[in-house]
Amino acid sequence: MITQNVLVKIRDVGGYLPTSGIALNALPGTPLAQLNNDLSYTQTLPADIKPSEGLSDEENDILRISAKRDVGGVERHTNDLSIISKEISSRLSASLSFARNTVNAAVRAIVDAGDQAITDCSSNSRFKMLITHVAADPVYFDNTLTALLGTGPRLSTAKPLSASTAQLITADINETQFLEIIKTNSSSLDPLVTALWSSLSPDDRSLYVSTLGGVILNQPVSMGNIYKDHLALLSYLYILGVKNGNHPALHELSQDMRLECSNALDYFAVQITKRIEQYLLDDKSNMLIDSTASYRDAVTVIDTVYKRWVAEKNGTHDAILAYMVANNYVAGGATKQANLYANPESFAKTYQSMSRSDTVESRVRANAATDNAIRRILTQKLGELLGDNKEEYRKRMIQLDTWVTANPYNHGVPLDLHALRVASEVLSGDAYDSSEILLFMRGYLQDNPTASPSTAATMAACQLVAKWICSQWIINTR
Amino acid sequence: MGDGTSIAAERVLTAVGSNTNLITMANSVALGVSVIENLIGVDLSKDKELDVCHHMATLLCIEFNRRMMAIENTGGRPIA
Repeated sequence: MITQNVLVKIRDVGGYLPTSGIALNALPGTPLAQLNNDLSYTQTLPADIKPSEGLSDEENDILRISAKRDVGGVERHTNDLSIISKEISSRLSASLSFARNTVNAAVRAIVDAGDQAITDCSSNSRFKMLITHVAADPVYFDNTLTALLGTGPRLSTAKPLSASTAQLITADINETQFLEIIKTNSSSLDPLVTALWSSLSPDDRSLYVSTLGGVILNQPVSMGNIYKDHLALLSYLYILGVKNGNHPALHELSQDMRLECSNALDYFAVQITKRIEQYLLDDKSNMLIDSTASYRDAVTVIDTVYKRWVAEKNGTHDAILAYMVANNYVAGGATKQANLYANPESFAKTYQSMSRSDTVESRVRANAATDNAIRRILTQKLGELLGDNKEEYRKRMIQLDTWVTANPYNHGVPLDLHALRVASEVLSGDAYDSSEILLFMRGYLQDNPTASPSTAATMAACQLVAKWICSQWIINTR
Repeated sequence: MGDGTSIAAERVLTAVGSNTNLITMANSVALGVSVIENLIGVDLSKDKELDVCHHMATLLCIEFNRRMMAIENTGGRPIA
């Protein structure tokens, strides 16, 4: 006897199975249709079961319900098993083929188009920017240089060398002597000086030494590029060497020349310090959206600035991006409109807020683009499927428009499921159970990642066959 | 039809108990497996990856259960 416990146990094994089986309904006139006629509902109770003959009302209700399911054909037609099997197999094969070749292809195209829409809409985001670093000479942030220059007030007597003195102290100097003077005066700076010197090409070194007098004389007014100011540093150190009496050709300087050198050192220190201060101001605008880069939204950040931003201000990419967007920076036209360093937290919050609204806008655009892709792809598929059958084509197109209008795509729903529903409904009509087959396959392959698609398809077929068979059962309530 | 069919039928009968009406279910398993074998053209009893017979039997048991529970929910009770 079947008990409630047994039923519960069976249910626990397999869960709930929804009804379907449309695909197995026979087309009119086929052998299966004939068989189904033989097996169709009797709409009568079995002859040996009569209501109210000693049965309770509940039992009569059960009989009434079960009578509607009276199709004892499976048992009665056992001899026709092979014919039934072939007919059902044929119909199911058509369903599987349609699911695989038509519906699945449409779903794949829609999913690809949807993914592309998301990519396209996201790429237009103001925040889809790369941050690139531009290497910059960090000479002005070397602690040794800062110690050398000092931070105290400069003498008001600071002034550059006179032309005659500059000519005198740089006459007939060669590269070796030049470096030796600097090294003798400041051995601790030797690695830095060596690095700076190495950064120059041989021709530039030769040119620099040969025109040293002019360089020293004009340095304060010729520093056009702040990243090339290491020449000013070298000049500063050279004058320091001259002042200290380390010049091989100048064994003794006059008192006036020593004073002039001392004033020139102060002058160089003032100039370099100004450059450093200016650099600190400039670094706030040293982040540009480089519209000429291969990736048009690349944000170019001076490396030194970026490192300072991260290390000293605990800065983030987010705040930089918000700063750039908020100030509409573009390459070559940057203007300082806000101070990034003043309140980095506010820029970080700005970024988060703008990013959220930007993301929402992108998604709305992507959803609409996906709906358009669905209409385009299914319209094309319907044309391929229906050929010259204009009436059916028109009917399906109305169905497509109605469905898409009533069910706009929302990114919260898996796109493949959404596409599967609309493709099955529009393309299949009432002919196939494509959605059920593909849904089952999707779930089966998710639960069994190592299973093959053909196995999933077979299992999906099992489900449809089981439903059809069950639809033929008599439930004998006696 | 593969040997697995009769095995599956036995499983059904074992699961729900021997009952005249449930012979129908065993036959149903046989029919279902036959359909699938026709569909894919192989003897499923030799398939190493699939246990179609067991799967079919499970599905049928579930559906049987669903129908019985539907009757029960209308106020009746399951009677074998």
